[in-house]
Amino acid sequence: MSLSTGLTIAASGLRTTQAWADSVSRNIANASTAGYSRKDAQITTLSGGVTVSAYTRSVSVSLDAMTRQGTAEIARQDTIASVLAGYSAQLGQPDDEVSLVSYLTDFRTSLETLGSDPSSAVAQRSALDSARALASSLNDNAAAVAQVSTQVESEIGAQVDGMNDLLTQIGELNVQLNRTTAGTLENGDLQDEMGRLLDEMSSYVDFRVSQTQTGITTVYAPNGMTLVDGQTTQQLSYDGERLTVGGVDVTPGDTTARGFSEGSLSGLFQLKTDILPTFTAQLDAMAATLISGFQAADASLAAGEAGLFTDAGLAWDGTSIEGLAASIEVNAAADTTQGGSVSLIRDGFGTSAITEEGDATQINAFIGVLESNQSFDASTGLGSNMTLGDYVAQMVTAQQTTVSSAEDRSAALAVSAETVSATRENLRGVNIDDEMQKLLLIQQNYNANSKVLTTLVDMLDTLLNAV
Amino acid sequence: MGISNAMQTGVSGLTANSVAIEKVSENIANASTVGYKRSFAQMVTSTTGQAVASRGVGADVTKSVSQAGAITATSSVTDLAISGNGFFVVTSNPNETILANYMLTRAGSFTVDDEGYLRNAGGYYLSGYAYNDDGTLPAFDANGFSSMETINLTDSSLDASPTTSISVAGNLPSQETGAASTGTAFISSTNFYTELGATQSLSMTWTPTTTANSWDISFTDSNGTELGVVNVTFADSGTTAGSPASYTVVSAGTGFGFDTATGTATLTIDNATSPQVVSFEMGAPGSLDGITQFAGDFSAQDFTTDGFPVSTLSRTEITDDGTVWGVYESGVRKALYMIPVATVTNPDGLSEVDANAYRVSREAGTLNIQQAGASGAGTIVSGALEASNVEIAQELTDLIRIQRAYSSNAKVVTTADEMLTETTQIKR
Repeated sequence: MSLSTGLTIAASGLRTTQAWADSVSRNIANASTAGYSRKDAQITTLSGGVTVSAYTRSVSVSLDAMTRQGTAEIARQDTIASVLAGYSAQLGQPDDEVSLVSYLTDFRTSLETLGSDPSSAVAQRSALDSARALASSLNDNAAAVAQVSTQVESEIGAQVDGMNDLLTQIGELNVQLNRTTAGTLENGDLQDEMGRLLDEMSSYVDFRVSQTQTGITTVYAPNGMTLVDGQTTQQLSYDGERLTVGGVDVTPGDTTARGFSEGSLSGLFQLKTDILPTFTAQLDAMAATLISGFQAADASLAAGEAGLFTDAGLAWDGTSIEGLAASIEVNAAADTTQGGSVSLIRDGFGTSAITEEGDATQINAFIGVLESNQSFDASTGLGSNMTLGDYVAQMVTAQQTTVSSAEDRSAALAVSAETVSATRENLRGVNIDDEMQKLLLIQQNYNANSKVLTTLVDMLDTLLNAV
Repeated sequence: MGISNAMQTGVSGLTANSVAIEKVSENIANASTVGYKRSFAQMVTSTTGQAVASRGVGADVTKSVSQAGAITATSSVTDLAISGNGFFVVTSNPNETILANYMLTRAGSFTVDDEGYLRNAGGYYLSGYAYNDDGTLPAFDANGFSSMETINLTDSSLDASPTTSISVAGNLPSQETGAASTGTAFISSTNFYTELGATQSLSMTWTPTTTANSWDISFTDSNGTELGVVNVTFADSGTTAGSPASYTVVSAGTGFGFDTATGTATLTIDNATSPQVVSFEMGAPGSLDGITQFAGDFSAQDFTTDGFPVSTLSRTEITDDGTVWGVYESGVRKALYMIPVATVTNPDGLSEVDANAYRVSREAGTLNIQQAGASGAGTIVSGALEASNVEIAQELTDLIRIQRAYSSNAKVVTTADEMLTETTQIKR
């Protein structure tokens, strides 16, 4: 080793340890930064000296993809559970006092009490009150579902905007990545930012990506449509019905389109197209059976006359059940505040009413509606022939199960996602102990290199003194 | 005459050592000059040829151009060093027309000047060969400097080039085919460039048919016009399992051609007065290079497209084979220049000019210009510089030695002088 070369090499050693220290200090400073991946300096020989050839990021493409898929699956179930949480509280459990089941039982009990003493005005009033409570509980539930629908609708709009914003950001980041060289710290930081954007997008929808060495990312929808290619982005658009990308249908949950299948957007679409319409149909079918059952049991009614329960004051024409749960009410003719008479519940609401005070025939017919099997609209998915009591219990259980199963699935998915996520964090995260140990090594290297430097300088000095 | 010869010899020693110390001073002064090559005096005896004549000494100056200096890393990508043999070709004026003015140097501290030329600290401009627009390197004279030009990193705005061929590779999921009813199509799209460099998209729908391992592929241009439909059946057994077995054209629009032997579609896209023709390669039957069909995910996404849009230069990269790559804003990478490495048979024989550059001389032997890394030529390291090959310790040691030699010679001269004085004092 000659002295001059030795000096150059020692200087390269100092420079390299400085650059190494740079990456280690970045790692330590960013130990708690979300989405930061550890940067390691790759040290190589350069004609006898040493240099940092590149900084590598500790990432695994497959772990990233698995984490994002997991996030998308959890987001879908979480969205369903959280959106329905309010409605679930409103609906109550079958044995809650405020549930439809209890209101129906109360109504039946009060009708039976009235049956044993048909002439009691108190019993008549009590029976009518419980009928009103049942009707208004149906109204409240229908209103709650409607409110959830509105919320879902505006949420879809907001999330589509959020997605488009992310897609634009990814496109812009691709331009910036193109300006940097792979292996530099600058490029690594931009790639981390890209990872953060993709992680954020994975809570909205499921997608696939392909990345170049510099981190330029192409994002594909599940059907193969390119969402981001370089700086060009394809925006999602939502017309209130369908979700499209560049004119191609990607509506989640639609069997005729290979749309998104996971993510919060898919959860919202599942609520919109499947869960909420089913809930509404189940409530409507109950209202329909109440109206038509009590209409049929009321012997006093002429054709077209409304019975105990009405469709907003009118008799139900029996064609469409849509919106009945929202409009069902107790016949105003039995409302004393509107000049009605409570005795109609004993006599029947029609023109040919019985007027004998002690006659329980009509009341028994009403009780019969609640005791015997009734037919329900087939669109509910709960069966079409059972007693009203059974139907209500089944409906409440089924609706609560939808909510709780979304919660359960989310919890189950979170367990497996946690494992993947932990592995990912272990791989890319910063271990302070490791970094400190590297720092010690850096210090030693730096000291050793500067020792070489001072020794060589001493040797040259000796030589100079000899001249 | 012994004494006067001794004086002569002593003077020759003084002269030779003063040349030697001159070289040492040059070397020490240039100890930090990038690409500097040390020169030194070698002592040779000189005689008049007569039998009784004394032998004096002469200094023969030698350069050690062939000895490489240490390569040190820098932070500028236009700092270049040659690892191995050879020189950069430089000129003192951009785009020099007189071939004799071309010079060689290893001083690679190039920076981009106001006109975009790469100029080193000595003021010399780096020369190279420009790539053709189609990405090929023109043939060049390996023994001369003709067809070289000065490398310029700014005036390389990228003109649009239309797409002429697209190829696709990827997998179609075999489990989707052979269902009771035609499956939902997968979609993929790729961008291509028109004659004017505008971006248009070409989309393909890949529909799994009710026949097992059979897919209908439809091509649609950006106006939504269907160009044609091709059916492809994949092999499901044998050595070629998963590769296309045969192609059949299902429907063909105007100008849609398909070569079933190579799996290449010819698409005529009506986007200008004379329509653009693009060949689209899906892979020949029996080949796994294009589209394949295995059980798994849909991934027919890997498009390779030529052509590019108008774009400005974003940054440049220099690889170790001396290729200067332009990376454009649009993401296109294009080879702009090749920086050649010039080697000569005897580098120490080059004649030196200002600022560490050398001219080719008869003594240097044959000039050979080749791509970096080719036989005998070194590779180019971007972001590094070659330090001076001067060894301070050696120079200082030489300094001591030369000083002593000089004093000794001076002593010889004074002693001879004293002796002559003694001689002249014999006669009073």
